[in-house]
Amino acid sequence: MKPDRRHMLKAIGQVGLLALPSGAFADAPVANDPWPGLVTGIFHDRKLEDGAHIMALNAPVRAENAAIVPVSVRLRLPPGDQRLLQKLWLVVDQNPSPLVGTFTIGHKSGMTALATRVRVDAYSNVHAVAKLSDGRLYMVKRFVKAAGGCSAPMIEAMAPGQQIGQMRFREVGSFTAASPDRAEGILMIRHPNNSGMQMDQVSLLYIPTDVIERLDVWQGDDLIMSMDGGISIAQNPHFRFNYIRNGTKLIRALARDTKGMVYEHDWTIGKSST
Amino acid sequence: MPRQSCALALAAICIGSGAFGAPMHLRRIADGVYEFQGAIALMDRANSGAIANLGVVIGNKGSAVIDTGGSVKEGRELLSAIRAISKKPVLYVINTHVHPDHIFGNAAFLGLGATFVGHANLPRAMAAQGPYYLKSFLPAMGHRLLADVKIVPPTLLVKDHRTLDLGGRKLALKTWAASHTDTDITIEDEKTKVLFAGDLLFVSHIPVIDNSLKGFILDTQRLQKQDARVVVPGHGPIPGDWHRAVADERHYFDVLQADLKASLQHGLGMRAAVRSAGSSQAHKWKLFDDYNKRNATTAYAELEWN
Repeated sequence: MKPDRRHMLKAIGQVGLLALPSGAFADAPVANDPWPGLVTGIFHDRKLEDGAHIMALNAPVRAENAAIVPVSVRLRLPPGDQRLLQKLWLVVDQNPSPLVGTFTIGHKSGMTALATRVRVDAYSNVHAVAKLSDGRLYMVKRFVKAAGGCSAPMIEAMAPGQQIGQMRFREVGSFTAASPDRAEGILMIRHPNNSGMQMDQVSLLYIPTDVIERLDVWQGDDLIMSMDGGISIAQNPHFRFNYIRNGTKLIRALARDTKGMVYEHDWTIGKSST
Repeated sequence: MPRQSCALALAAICIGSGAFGAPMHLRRIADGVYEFQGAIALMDRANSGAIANLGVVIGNKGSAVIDTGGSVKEGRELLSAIRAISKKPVLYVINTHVHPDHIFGNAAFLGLGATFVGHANLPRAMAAQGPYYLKSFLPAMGHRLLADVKIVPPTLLVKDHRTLDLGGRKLALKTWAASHTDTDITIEDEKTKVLFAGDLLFVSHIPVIDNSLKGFILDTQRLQKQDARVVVPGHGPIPGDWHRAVADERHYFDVLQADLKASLQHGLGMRAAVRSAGSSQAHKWKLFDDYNKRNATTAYAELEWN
């Protein structure tokens, strides 16, 4: 194993609590809006068009658990619209590191939907920005009530036998019955995705950031998607996405974390595996 | 509706009297064993955080306190009530687990020479969670109630088993599988066979899963085998038939697990799955809407790796 292995095991050997009893948070307005600054920082002030008519962002109004907030983005182009999704950004405005991830969609992947789980550290707008093949950027947003997600200790200790970097992929059936060439898959990675804001419960020092910073998923030799991610992706990163089957039977995933560990796995489509 | 509100208000005064500045009512449940029953509610300003059940056991040498409540105000009211029934010193302050409704009153017992006792994981969990709890409960509780809260970790730690001698009676402390939290202990008075189960047993109040559904199911199996005459839950009234109360709790876990497993099998995502999981049990539990989806979220993230 790599030298950092021991440290990582120590980091995940602890057990933490999820979150608070519900109702602990009263309604509070969002503090000064960081979004204009983020538009400059992430999108270099490029024009973001209203995407409400072509895409949907789904996130809970009130997160049950701020450390695992499910969010999904789905393209809803009108029939006949041939534009493709090229890139997707997810942003939790009020997080210490607002850019959750940048997802680059493979040319042939045909992805129109992506779901993952994020940490939400304060009441915040969540933005999704999509770049379509017309070269334009489209934006939608949702307000999420959740707090403490980045500093909430990790949910569970990893039981013996569970390893960092363990990956699973499974298809969850055809995307729609009408288009059997479309598939939907779930990719899960066992990883603490330490935000750098969680305290080591023994040393009382903050656990260094250790997150999946890059993930590539292929179908055969065709890229389905790549992700450049940060600390706002929840522990045990989880991605659900659709794609057009290209006839090959192999799904491959390669993940790299900020400690330089690389995790790789492949699966024969049609059966789930670990 | 007005009539119902009145009834609720009265019930609140009777049950959660500590919240209204009156002396806390400690009910004698066995020789030298007392309980305060918290309100079945979320912690807020109105109830001063007095939502958890607290216990006191009095021996020849002194007493042990089992949990200190959700504010220093409540902790002080508990201490006054103990002083009204016993002049002996408080020897031990035991926290059944890390949650704020059980530990925020600890500071009321500082400076009395009492030894703080808890699960071996509790100091770590308190260090990690304490500041987060204080910050997060501010909106619901307010500065006035939280200003003097101190996170006081135990110095006497329980790994597996430990016995505390109160003089003429012994308390048997045990640790449990990570379930409600990873810091849960139970306390049994060997003399009267009263078992303080902490939040491993919920009665009427929906069970809360903050760590592991599978662990909680294991704990209910082990609870059933305990040789206890009376079991005091962490929330809700002391059950007449505690085996049945544990079975009721277990039933909720079984339904939640079965629902989530079915959803996972059908490829249902987290959001959709937690919307329906366990919902058939809603009529059986108070505060169901406050906790069920959160329980389901925790359990979903656990079960999806099965």
